[in-house]
Amino acid sequence: MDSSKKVDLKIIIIGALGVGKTSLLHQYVHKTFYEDYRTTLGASILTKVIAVDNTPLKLQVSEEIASAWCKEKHIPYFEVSAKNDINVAQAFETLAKQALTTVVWESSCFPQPCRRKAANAPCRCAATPELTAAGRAPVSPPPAAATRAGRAPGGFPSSSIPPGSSSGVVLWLQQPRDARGRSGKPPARKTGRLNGVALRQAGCWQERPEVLGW
Amino acid sequence: SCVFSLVNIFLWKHTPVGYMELGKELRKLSWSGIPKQVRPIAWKLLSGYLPANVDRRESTLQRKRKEYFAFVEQYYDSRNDESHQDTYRQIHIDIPRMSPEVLRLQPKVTEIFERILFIWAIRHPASGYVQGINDLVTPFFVVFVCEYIEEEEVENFDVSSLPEEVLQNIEADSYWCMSKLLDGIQDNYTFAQPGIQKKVKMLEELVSRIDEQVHRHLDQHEVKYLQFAFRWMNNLLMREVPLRCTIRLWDTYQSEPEGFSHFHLYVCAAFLVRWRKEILEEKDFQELLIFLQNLPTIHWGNEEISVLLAEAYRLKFAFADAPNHYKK
Repeated sequence: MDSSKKVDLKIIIIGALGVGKTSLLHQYVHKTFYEDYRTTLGASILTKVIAVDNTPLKLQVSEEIASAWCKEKHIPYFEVSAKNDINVAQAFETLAKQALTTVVWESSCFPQPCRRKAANAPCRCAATPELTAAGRAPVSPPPAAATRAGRAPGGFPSSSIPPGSSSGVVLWLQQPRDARGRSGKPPARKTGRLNGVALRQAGCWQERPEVLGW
Repeated sequence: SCVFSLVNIFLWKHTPVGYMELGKELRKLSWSGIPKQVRPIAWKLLSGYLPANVDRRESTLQRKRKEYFAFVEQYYDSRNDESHQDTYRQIHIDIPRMSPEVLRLQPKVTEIFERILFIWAIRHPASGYVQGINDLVTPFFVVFVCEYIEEEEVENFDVSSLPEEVLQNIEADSYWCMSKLLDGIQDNYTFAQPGIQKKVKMLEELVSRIDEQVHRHLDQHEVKYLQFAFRWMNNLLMREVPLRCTIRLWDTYQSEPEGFSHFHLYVCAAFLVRWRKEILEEKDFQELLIFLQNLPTIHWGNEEISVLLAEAYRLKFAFADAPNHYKK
């Protein structure tokens, strides 16, 4: 591991309430599924250091900030289970690789983008490239490569990432359609059912998200 | 002697002028913590749910309890209607994810909390149900359960062993007292939660005045107050300290004018500065945020809360009437 190539990478997990954002994150970082946990209020954060292609990455895994701008289409698709630890690490590490290879680095937006001092302009990260979608990846467990979003030309190879720089990814967590409640009934959690995880590359979020609780 | 004077206060009969005095006296005595034996009645009086007039208390209780169950009758069946099912669903999945752990897993408790929260949400369409409100039922519920049990630890108590009528009283009393509390902080939960945004901003200004070093340190590491203090405001510090401490804190909040809305700000400032040494030792964004979101208060008790409240009172005294004190 070449620590001089250390990169800070930020992953934001968003999604409807109760889909398992916290559970997924804890499974990834602590290798544990908590039967018993509390609703996350506002945002919460965990970190983990991993190595991708010999580059140590510090993932700043932040849950639940931002939402609206992420509603676009073309979302690579994973199935994961926080409870049974299926595909969790693969999902995160694929994201990490994606971020390494596809983000435009002159963007000053991560990890703490859009500081008020930096610009009076509202935080809309123009430097963030729009990603071309990679259709749907195979259902579990997909090989990491298959889920990598196809990148429009212009993505930087990982070797060009300056050490000490950082990037970010948004992970949008959704319940599979058949697990969603009907007639007001909540989905059965704790059944170990697989969650659909939609992955989308992104760059920045609004400085003051209006919605903070899920 | 404190218990003695409080109990005396509850039993006294007064003229209307006397009731004012009585309320003042009750607040003064309760500010530094209410003994467990008289807390249920003290909270009902302090919140304004019960009238000071002894002769009217029983009839008020009966009327309010009846009124609450009339709401249940009227609204609760609509929880699966198209227009309300999202609200109900959110409450239903949030309740198993509340604190503290032990109580919430009892089906009887779950049922009661669902009814209280759903009725409150339906009756307060300006905000509706917002995550975090669910936690605010717990202190009332726990304190009012204590009125009927001998056990020291309510968390190990099987609530379903209480008679149905008693449970209904606890439910209605919890509903009304929670409503009174929420009336005072409604803008915390209306769209975009402006009350919280404003208070977080005020906290930031206050801290920049009282401990510039801590403020600068957070700023240098790009930690935003909203990232940790949102929850402090949204849940009145309930997620940051053990339940016994929240209950003690609420003795004071209910004794202090605008305790939950205004005094809470000073408590938050004192709370943040309380960790200055640890904060200044953390040298990067994520370590700071992880620390601030997991403050080591698990062993806290009355003593720590008393120190915190004394410091908050000092800050309020120093800054409240001098807004320029916390303008740069």
